[in-house]
Amino acid sequence: MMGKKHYTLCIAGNPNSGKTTLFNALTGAKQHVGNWPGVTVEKKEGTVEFEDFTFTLIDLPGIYSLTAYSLEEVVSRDFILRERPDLVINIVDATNLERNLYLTTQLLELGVPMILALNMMDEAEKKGFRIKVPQLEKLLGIPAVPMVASRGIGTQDLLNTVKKFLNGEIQISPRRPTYRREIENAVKDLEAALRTHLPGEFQKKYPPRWLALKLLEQDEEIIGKIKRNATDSDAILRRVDAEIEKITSILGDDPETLIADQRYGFASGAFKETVRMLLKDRINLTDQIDRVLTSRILGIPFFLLIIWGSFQLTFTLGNIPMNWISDGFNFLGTLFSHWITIPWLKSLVVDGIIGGVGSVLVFLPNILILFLIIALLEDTGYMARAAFISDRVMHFFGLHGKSFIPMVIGFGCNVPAVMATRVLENNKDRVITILVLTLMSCSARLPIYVLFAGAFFPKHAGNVVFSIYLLGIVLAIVMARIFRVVLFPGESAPFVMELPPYRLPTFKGLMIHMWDRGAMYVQKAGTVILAGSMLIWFLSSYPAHPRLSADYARLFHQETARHERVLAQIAREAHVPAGQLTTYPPFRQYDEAYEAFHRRSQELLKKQCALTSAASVLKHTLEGIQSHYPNTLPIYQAYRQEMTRYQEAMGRLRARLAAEKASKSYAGRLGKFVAPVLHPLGFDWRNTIALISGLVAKEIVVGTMGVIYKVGDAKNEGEKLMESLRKNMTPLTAYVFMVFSLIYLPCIATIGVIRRELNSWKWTLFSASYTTVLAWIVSFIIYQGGRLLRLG
Amino acid sequence: METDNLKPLSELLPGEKGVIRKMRTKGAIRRRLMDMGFVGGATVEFEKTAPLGDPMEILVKGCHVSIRKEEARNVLIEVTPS
Ligand SMILES: Nc1nc2c(ncn2[C@@H]2O[C@H](COP(=O)(O)OP(=O)(O)OP(=O)(O)O)[C@@H](O)[C@H]2O)c(=O)[nH]1
Ligand SMILES: [Mg+2]
Repeated sequence: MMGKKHYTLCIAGNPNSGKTTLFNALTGAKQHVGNWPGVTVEKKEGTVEFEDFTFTLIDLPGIYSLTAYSLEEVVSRDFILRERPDLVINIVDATNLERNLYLTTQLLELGVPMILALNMMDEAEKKGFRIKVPQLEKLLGIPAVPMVASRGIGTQDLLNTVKKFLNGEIQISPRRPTYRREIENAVKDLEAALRTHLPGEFQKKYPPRWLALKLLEQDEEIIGKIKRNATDSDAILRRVDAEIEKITSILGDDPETLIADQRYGFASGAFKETVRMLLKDRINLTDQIDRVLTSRILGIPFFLLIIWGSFQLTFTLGNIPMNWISDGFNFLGTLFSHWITIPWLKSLVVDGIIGGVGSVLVFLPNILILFLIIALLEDTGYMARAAFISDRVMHFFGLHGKSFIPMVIGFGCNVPAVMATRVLENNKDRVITILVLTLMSCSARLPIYVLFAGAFFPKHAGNVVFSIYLLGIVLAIVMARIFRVVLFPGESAPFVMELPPYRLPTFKGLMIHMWDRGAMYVQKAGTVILAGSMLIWFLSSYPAHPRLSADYARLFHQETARHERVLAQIAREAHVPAGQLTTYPPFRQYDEAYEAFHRRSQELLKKQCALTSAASVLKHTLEGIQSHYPNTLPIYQAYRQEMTRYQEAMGRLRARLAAEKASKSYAGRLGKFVAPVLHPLGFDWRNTIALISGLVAKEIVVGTMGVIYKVGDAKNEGEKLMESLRKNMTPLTAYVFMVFSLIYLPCIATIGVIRRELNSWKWTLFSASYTTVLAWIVSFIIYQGGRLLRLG
Repeated sequence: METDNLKPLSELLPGEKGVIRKMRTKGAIRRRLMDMGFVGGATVEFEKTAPLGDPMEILVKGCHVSIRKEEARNVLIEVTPS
């Protein structure tokens, strides 16, 4: 038997023409998503087994044209020209054939073998279009296959046609538009010049006629290529300029416009000769829906409702499995800490690895749900409407309508929010949105505000927290406008966006969409997050045995020895053997009596009744016990006092040890080292350490505060922490601390996804450093301003 | 071609139709508009504006396209009398 024949095919077409649906129908589960090298444009690749063929199928990004307007367009045309797939499948939306054929015309001009997939035939029929397929095939010079990709209709015909072409049973010779005589002459001249001045290899990939047209269109990317590859490129480019000038003066318009006009002419011609409208002006479902969803009155309420619903689903529903996952990891942690006896290994496995993997996976439910919702919004066509409605506001901020949804999600968690910026096609918009999105105060920062607002502004806690959120929004607006001007000067991208018809998405499509992105998050972002978490773990738990200011082992031992001496004394007075105090009958009865009193008084307090009844019951019970065991009550009371004293002393010691270890760890030393920088903001080294620990996840800040303020394991930990905070900070520094926590460096997980999503360390580092600098500046202004006003 | 009876796309009334006669933009914006079907001779219909007053929804070559007023200002239309 011969091996299978292997070929590469690619699917090209307008956004929303059904490329991904066709791709999924053909490849099934045999696909994987990645990025095109060096850029953030998504690349989907899959394999199709068909008879004795194996096809590698590439889903190109959705594009309207083959100019160099967007990264997607450059990626697509470079792929077709450089990788030379054996066949291009151009999928077009049959309900929208005229506009779709504009791209087809440009693909024909590349001169590569191509098949037309006439998709959405079901909708076209409903709308009353009758398409003469053979006529269309003749006009374009390529085979055309009608299909309904969402129901798998026509996909076998498509593969059969592909097979026939590859077996040489049919010929494909794409036709292409011819231009006005002046342009054709210029093209011929330039073509000849390019043939002599370009290396043969280059010409094999980029056909000279196509290059000549692109030069007349002033395509910057192609001009760059010519400069790099052609001998005597200056002369060629001068000639291009001269031709452009000549054509403009003769025909009254620049070649770029004339060429586009004629491409549309070719497309409209093909459309008019092949498509008949049977019925006209039937009620259109999309228009009906839009009459509500984008209407003047109901548009905004519906929009807010949908955004609110998406947010709620992502975080309320997502937090349920999120809790399971974190409980699961906690359980794993306990399990391993029992099994492993070597302390450093235990800490590495439990805190470093299990903790780190856990911190990656806890976000997974949120991310899966979010992507399901986004897929739903995109595939139904509502996403474009959401951008349509919110663009007015976002444009004012220097952003794009589609930035709105990621920004809202940012209030829940910045990690999925960064991933949600994928809906933005324009890279500049995406970068700016990601940069300012971290200023949306995520829910992990809330515990910090709750602690500080509760401790320092108990009467105005709500307003204080709200002011922090508001500050984040205001800063995001200001920074977005600054970035727009400073980072991306020049004309901003136009907001010209298609409002596609509403469609019912397929279940399979939604699931694949959700799963792909979830898997990508775990794979790619996961590695960065994991590495970051382990680094922070290392910094905060090493050195494991720092030189301590006191011999804690001895202090623990001394306290225990003292305790045992006191207990022995009590035992002697009670006439019991030293070890049997806990089971000594009168002591147990006293314990029970006091416990009963305690319970009873709690109940009474709840009912707001006086405690007299409980007190008299207690008095009575105590008297009863004493009548059996005379003179035991004072001894019992001394015993109780000693037990409490011992527990408190040990707790204090443990807290002191933890605090000292924390301050002497690498993270602590870093905190002390960095502290002078934060001193002008009113922070001491303790604040600094807490902020550094917050890099893993901002909710850790509060826990670290507890450790370094030596709160220990007292029951009313929160209260005690607030008390020691009040002793060490002023309301002004507390507020500044909240402000700093809001703005500074996003957590490791967010940095991980930013790196992954922007595919650039440069932007990632920029995001990390600008936020920190901004945090410093804003905090400085508030702190110093506050001191001037004598608020400190 | 005289521009007297031409009207910027941004000033069409809802439901009004016309034919594109002139584009006053250059560069990337021009290119994008052309890709979306805004070329000389194309028929356009103004459907409605977004709830907040900008962008506007235009029907061009059978597609619903949203475009900001600041961009629509540079597309000049010869209004088709209805
Ligand atoms: N009625 C109908 N709907 C279809 C057909 N093919 C695809 N759809 C739907 O059209 C919508 C868009 O399809 P996609 O496959 O996501 O389109 P795409 O070309 O990949 O879009 P982008 O990735 O945004 O460029 C989805 O809701 C599909 O379910 C079809 O033949 N008939
Ligand atoms: Mg797609």
